[in-house]
Amino acid sequence: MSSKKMLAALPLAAICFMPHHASAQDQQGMVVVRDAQTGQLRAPTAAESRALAPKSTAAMAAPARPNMVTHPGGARQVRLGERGLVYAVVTREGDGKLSDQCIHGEQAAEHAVHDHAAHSRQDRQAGQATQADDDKEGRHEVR
Amino acid sequence: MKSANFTQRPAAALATTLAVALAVTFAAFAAPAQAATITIVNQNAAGIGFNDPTPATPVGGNPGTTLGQQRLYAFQYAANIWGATLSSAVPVRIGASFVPLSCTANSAVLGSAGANEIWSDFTNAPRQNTWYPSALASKLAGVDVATPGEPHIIARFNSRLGLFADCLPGSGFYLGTDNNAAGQIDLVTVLLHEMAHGLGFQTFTDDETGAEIQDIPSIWDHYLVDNRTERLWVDMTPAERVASAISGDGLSWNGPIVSAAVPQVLDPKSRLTVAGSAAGSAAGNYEVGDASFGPPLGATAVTGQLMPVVEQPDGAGLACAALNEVNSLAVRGNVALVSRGSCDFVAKARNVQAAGAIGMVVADNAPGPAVGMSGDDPSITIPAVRVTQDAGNTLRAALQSRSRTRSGVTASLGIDPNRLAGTDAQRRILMYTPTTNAPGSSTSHYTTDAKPNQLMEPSINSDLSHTVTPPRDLTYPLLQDIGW
Repeated sequence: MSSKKMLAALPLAAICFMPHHASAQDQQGMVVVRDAQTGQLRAPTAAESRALAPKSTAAMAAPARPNMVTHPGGARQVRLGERGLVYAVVTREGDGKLSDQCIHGEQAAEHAVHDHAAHSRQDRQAGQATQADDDKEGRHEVR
Repeated sequence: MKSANFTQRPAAALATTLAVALAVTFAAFAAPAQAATITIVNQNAAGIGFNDPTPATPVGGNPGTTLGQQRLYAFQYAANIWGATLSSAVPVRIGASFVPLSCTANSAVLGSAGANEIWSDFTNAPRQNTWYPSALASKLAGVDVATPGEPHIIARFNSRLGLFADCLPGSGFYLGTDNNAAGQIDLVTVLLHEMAHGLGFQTFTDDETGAEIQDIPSIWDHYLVDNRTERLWVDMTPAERVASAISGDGLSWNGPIVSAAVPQVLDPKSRLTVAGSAAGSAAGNYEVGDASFGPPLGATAVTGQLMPVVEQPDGAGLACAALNEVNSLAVRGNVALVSRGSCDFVAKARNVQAAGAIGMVVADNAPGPAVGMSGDDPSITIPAVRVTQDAGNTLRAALQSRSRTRSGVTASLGIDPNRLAGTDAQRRILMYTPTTNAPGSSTSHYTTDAKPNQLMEPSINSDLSHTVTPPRDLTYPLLQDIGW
């Protein structure tokens, strides 16, 4: 896209704001906050923890199995919510290079993140890269 | 010009100020005739995510002065690229947030996106009994079909990436818009990719089971064809869909707009041609994986005697260190055959180049297809390709009888003028169908064999531009095929 076209496009998008949180049902890991006054990171207060905790919104609270709704006139609808998401996962290889992959589904994304961490630990213990790291099919490998 | 929709709330005053400034700054430019309004619905609370007040220095065209402002600007920038490309009378709402997502010190979820709702049999639906993502269904219906208050697309990105010791420290999002990430993760590129999924670059049929949602196919499935049987996914059984999804190169995109654009977007396919008096049964053309380093293969092939590097007990040669005198003599002025393993591909290329080789063939050390080789070193001036383990064994067998400088087997690193990279025999682009059933692997991506690299490959490559249209990219043509 030319820069001219890009500039022309900029006013087209709009931003609106909703006061509720984006929920993250799969939030994991330690949560810290940056103190607004000191700029330092610290553990969240109880109120901040509540604010950061996953909360369901209509968009995210999809049922365990997709329910279909048939509307007057015949239109049919399924709310996917989290189920429809495609995840981008990045890993840092032994040589420091970043490698990413796009994965469908939360569980698969979680596996990609944590299986890599497990592999990395094994690699460090073994002192060498594993074949599993070398053979991620479909990726443009560095070694 | 389509009007922008600003809803101002006190909690988001900083970001809103930035957005208003953007609108004012660019108000003098006329909108293109083809456009869609894409609304970023900021779902973060005050003080976090898009509203993070942490001071930030403007970077790479992003004028934001807080972390939240810069995130919002990058989001907006990516949305604007899609907004200027698509056409819809119904604004597309992306429910977006930066939230803590799964991390370790060396891996992380960057973000996720997808359609929030899918619809079938709505007013003006081009195909009956077919799922469409709600943003596309709304465009086609001419009215917003989505449940009131619901976004068409959900997008969540990792607010902790690169900022914490347990979340890929030092490798955060690059928030500039100048495509100059320099080792960081270019947020705009990731956003363009993920937003495309939300717009419809995905099937809603399960890749692993082949099951359709409520036994209704996705619009995607009408264009996904098994290039060996010419059967569409929509006509297959679940088991047949599963088999085709792990076929290696058996699925193609059969949409007319993509297929028409393929010749102007994709480059000819690289190949290795082996010949010569001693080649015997090894003579012929070989599938290769391209290298991201060194010069690309061209119409004028680089040709020379194929000579192996030999330094291992089994006769293989890794070329991970400077070549000894015998190996240097063998590869000088010739094409070096080395084995994959133990060091980066670029290290091998540097070493054989330093010894005088004019090209490099890397033989895989494990079964699998001939995939590409990553790496970057501007000092490498010789071409390189990668061949399968089987091909490597065949070539080594043909090189058993040779002198110190000649083998009688020639290797030509060039292109096949009749084939385009990443396409089937009918010049349709291949889809990503790895032969191993990796969890989460999805046919909702283009093949990794495309050349140049495409935005919608399963991995985001560093050579991508912020482009979604031909002649550089095939993302928008696919969205056009499904109805955009």
